[in-house]
Amino acid sequence: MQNGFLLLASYFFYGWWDWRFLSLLLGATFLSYLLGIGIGNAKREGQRKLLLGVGVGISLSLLVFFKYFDFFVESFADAFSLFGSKMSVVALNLILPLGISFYTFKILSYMLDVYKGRIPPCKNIFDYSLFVSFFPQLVAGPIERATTLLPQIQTQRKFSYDQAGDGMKLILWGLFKKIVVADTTAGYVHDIFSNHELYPASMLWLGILYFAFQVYADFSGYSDIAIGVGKLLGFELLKNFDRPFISKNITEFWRRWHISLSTWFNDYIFTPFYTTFRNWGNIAMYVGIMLTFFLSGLWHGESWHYIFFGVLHGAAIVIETATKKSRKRLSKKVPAWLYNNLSMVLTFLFVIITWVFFRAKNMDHGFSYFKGLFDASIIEIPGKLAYIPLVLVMVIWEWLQRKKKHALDFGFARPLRWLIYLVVTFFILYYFGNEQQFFYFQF
Amino acid sequence: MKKFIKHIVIFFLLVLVVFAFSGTFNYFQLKNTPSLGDTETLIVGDSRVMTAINPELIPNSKNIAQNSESYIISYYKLKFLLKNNTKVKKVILSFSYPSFSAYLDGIFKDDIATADVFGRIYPIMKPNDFGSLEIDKFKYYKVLFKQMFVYPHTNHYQYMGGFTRLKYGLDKADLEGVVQRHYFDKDSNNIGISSCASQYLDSIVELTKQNNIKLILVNIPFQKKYLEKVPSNFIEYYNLQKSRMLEKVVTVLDYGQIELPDTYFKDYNHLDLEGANYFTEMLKKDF
Repeated sequence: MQNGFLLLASYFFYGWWDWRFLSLLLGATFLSYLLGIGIGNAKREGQRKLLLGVGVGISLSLLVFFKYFDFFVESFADAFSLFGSKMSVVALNLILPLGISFYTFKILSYMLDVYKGRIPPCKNIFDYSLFVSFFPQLVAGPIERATTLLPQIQTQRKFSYDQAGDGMKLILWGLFKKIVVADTTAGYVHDIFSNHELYPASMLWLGILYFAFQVYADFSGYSDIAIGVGKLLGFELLKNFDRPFISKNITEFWRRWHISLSTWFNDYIFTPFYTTFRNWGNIAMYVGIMLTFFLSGLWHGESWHYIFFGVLHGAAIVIETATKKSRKRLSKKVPAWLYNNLSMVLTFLFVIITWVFFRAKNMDHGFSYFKGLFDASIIEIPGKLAYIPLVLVMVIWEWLQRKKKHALDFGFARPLRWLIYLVVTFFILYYFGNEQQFFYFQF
Repeated sequence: MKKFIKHIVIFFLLVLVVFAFSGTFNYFQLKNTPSLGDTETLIVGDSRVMTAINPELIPNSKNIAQNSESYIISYYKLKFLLKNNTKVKKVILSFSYPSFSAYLDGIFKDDIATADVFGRIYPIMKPNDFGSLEIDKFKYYKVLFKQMFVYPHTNHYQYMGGFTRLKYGLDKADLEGVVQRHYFDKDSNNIGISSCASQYLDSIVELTKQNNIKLILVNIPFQKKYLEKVPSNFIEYYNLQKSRMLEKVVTVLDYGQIELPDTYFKDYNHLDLEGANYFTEMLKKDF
């Protein structure tokens, strides 16, 4: 009964966006359900491998077709033109089905987990369908694993006042981050990135700073809302962000940023690759890291600037891995507070600078913006500082609440707590009106 | 579950109490029409007059122009303000090539400025006042709700606008961008002539006549590179409207083609403060 209602709600939610793509979701779900059972029941390893191969192949083909077809065809034509001859290509200009990158990864992890024996295949088609399409996380994650979500689906859930209360507070805080911080700063970011050649370097730095907090507030806000809705319905979903901007190196950053995707790539790409080629020594690790981040960049979008962004982060982690011992020696010679804070600042700078390519329209735009960052006009006082206080409120609040369950978890008396919730609610209502689509919906 | 629902209901009741308080406060605030005091000359229109006519140089004048202000907004603004301000003798109104562009018709729906425009005009325009223009009613009511119920405030006069001092910036201005916005759609096709600009210009002419106010239409100076890019249909339509206005015995002061030094421009279609002061003195002599 509970699952049937949630399944209908999930399909309604997805169909509301575009009912035509429901068939794709249903097809992918049904096929992976059958293949999961097949993998679980197959007696011979060859058979299991074959079924897994078919499942992974079909899932990736759908993703590649809808998300990357035009990109591959156009890139192929560009590469061909380097040899002097022009090639006419037919771009299909396909609509990207909402959430395809997210639910494909859920399906893949399910089949791989069944193959590895981490979970038994799900026999109930409705339970499995709900796992794939669970609406709070269907379109932008967190990318929940079958190992954690399926058991919750298969259990009767009971209402808990504390869990539901936490859910409401997470939704409220998520809305604050999305509407008050992300949607307001989005206008400035759009303007600065669109007209970067008109602005001084100091403004371009402000642009990437705003973008860092816009994308954080947008995506972590969405995750908070998804986790909050999950709690209201009796589910505990994965934490997707853990104060990423205090990371002291890029490796740590990816442990704190979009955690469900990072762990997915770690578990299903890097670890299997490294395990397979372990006898290559460090080379296997470096190649594994680069491959993982190349694919992570590609996952974000069908464009070279996303891949470049991924490769930059991969290269940074390779350098970090290769210099681990020397950095450790250095850390012993320098006062800890200086080393830690400097590491944090440098990591933050690297992240926001590389995000130029993440936000850019294409590689040319990214390089042009990047060049503009290092102009003499960096000393000019930038305009558009109006939203800095909003960003600071979010950052400071989350920092002060870092040891609590979430940002609105207080131990105060009820009247004071409720007053804070009311103030947050009215902040949201005040800034409501410039809604932007969630940033990660495009992926 | 009962306790949870009870708390949610109480919380939303508290929100409603704040809505009721804010709504009552704002309702009474809205009833006040702003006084123009001893203002005899009112400067109305879009961002071009907003930045080009310095009211400090014209005795008893007030510049209430605003960016993205089309004739329909100027009409309702004047209608509202003239009800209680009988000392106004002259109205200087923006009259230039982009004043007749259909891009101003599209500003009430799916435009980056839509929410901002509604946030200014809700006290003077209701959704029915837009006539045949397409408007995003949902956004309008959302803005109205926010302005009326979310918090009590006295700033319901954002439609009043005002003279804006700009610094020189022609060297960094985006000519293609502004021409694209004024005269072309997203697919770079000519956006065409506004479906209602001429009609509301006539309404303003009638309104000023009824109130015994002298209407002066002013085309402010543009940088010559901008003028070269104005599509011919807009120039023809502008000239047609100019003839029509002259037939109605309306004063038209056309400075569109005069050449000013580049240092007088903020960008290709706005004067900077130096340009505004120079131009205001020139305008004063002519009217």
